[in-house]
Amino acid sequence: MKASLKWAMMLLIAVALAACSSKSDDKNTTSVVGGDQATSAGVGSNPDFDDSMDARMAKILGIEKNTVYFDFDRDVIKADYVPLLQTNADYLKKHPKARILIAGNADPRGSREYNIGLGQRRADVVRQRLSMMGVAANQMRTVSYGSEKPAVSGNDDYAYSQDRRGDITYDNAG
Amino acid sequence: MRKYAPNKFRSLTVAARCLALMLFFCKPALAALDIEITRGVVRTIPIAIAPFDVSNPNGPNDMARIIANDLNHSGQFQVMPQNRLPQQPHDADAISSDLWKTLGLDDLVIGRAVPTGSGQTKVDMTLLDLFHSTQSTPTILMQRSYTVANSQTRALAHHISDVIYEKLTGEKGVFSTRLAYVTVQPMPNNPRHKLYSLMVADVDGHNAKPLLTSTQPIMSPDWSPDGGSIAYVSFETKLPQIFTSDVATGRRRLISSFAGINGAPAFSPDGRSLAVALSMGRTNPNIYTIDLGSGRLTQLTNDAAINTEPSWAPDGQSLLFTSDRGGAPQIYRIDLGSLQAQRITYIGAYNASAAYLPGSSTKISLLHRDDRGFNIAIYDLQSGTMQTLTQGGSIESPSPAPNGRMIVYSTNVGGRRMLGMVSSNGQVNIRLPEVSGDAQAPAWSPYKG
Repeated sequence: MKASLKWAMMLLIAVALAACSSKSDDKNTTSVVGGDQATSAGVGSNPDFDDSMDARMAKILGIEKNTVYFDFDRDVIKADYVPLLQTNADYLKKHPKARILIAGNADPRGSREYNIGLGQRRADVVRQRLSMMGVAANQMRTVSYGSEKPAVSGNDDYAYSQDRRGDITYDNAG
Repeated sequence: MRKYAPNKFRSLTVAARCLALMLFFCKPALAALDIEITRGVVRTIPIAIAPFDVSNPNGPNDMARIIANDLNHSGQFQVMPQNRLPQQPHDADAISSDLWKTLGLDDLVIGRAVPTGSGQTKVDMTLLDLFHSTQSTPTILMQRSYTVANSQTRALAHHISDVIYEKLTGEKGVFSTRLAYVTVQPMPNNPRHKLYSLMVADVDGHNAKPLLTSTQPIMSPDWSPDGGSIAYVSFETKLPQIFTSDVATGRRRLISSFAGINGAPAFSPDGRSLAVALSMGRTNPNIYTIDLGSGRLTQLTNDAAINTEPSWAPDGQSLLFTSDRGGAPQIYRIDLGSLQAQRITYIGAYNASAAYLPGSSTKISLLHRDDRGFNIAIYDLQSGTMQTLTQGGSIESPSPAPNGRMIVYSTNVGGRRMLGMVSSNGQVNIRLPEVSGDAQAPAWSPYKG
């Protein structure tokens, strides 16, 4: 209850900020010769609710990015990411109506369909760990995007390390 | 079929010939297509194509240009640059044999494209033998006449290329076939988000049109054997589903939407079923077939490894697939009668994306990893040898042409994915015209039905 109120407040603030920015930044006034005047204004872009949801959830959970990274060709959760999963588990247990999608990803090398298999293993490892932490099965869905949604562009080891990941997104904050 | 004796044109050094070819393709009108001879000497047929268009003989859309492009593309012809032709004849009796004899050409194509005024173009084409001709006039090998809508002259040029190719090599050409592939572009007003399109284009990259556009990934297009529909994976609901789309009408049909992975659709040779990879709510995908008439599902593999990328044998009695049941991805073959699976590849720690090379029952094309990275290779089932065809190292999604001569793939060029083609003997490598954004997951169509 408290969280959803906090949430609505944040949404209001976000909308207000968006409105302000479209007034101050996107407006463009042009003077033309002979006293005539033409005024053009940007209409702003549509707010991106998906991402603002991620951003809001990250804020609520007190984490920067709701992502678990994996080593090359591995689907083992490193100790560094256990606290992040525990934070999600605590929230999900407190909010039984909350629903998450766990998306497993692979780096772009090799076969796309085989990478779908690798991504699914990573997504399921995250699901299993959250399940061990007490999260109900019906709160979690998994999907593998394989190498179809690279996190960053580039073909070096850093880019690959960013691609091998499990992303947790909230479909419903509960 | 003919035999090719050495002649002057062929005796030019390889370097000079490559340079000539490169200069030819550096011309702005053809800059989009980038052909490189990657290794060795190619046994090519020296040929010239005189302009067809009487009024504008050097225009970029002249049918002769399109035919020249096609034949060069195949890697089996060496087309003489137009500016080196001693004459630009439209009729056989206008040819001065003395002017052509010394050029070292085997064949000459002449033609005439004339608008009839009613939105149609009349096209005449003559294929002449210069090399075997003993008389003062060249021997006519073939003559064809067509009347087509003006909008169809490009398609007709591809058809003429097919006819010439078949006459001179004895094999069917693939110049009238098409490619399906996926493009990925940043959304104009929100570059963090992507737009995925399933495209269909002529095999030379022209006439690209979207069959489906989505804000979520599209994967693994595969053509039905009659070329009438394409199966693919779409994540438009955020979760993967397999659809087929009718190529002519765009009409879609949902085929598979089970829990978990729905991937890697492959039409059977009779077009009646799809082999797919399904995880059925578990972690690892297994191979199934779906009967497109009855919807009946048959499970072929059943283990806790990744089993994916089914690809049918030409007789429809067995399938190749990729599995990591042995610890790393390798190619296996499963017999549909006994459901016995047998490992096929042992060379290299990573083999995937296998397909029988059309026209051969013993060769398969695949994605092979070695110390140079991921490349296209041909594995010979009989001799057990692996021949790597490309050198790029970040290559994927091989798909062979219906005549087995070329393999289209996706490669990384300067951080972007582009389509390329390599001949199945490894001697010719072609980069297809650029698209905006990334181009990936190509699938070569069957012959036009």
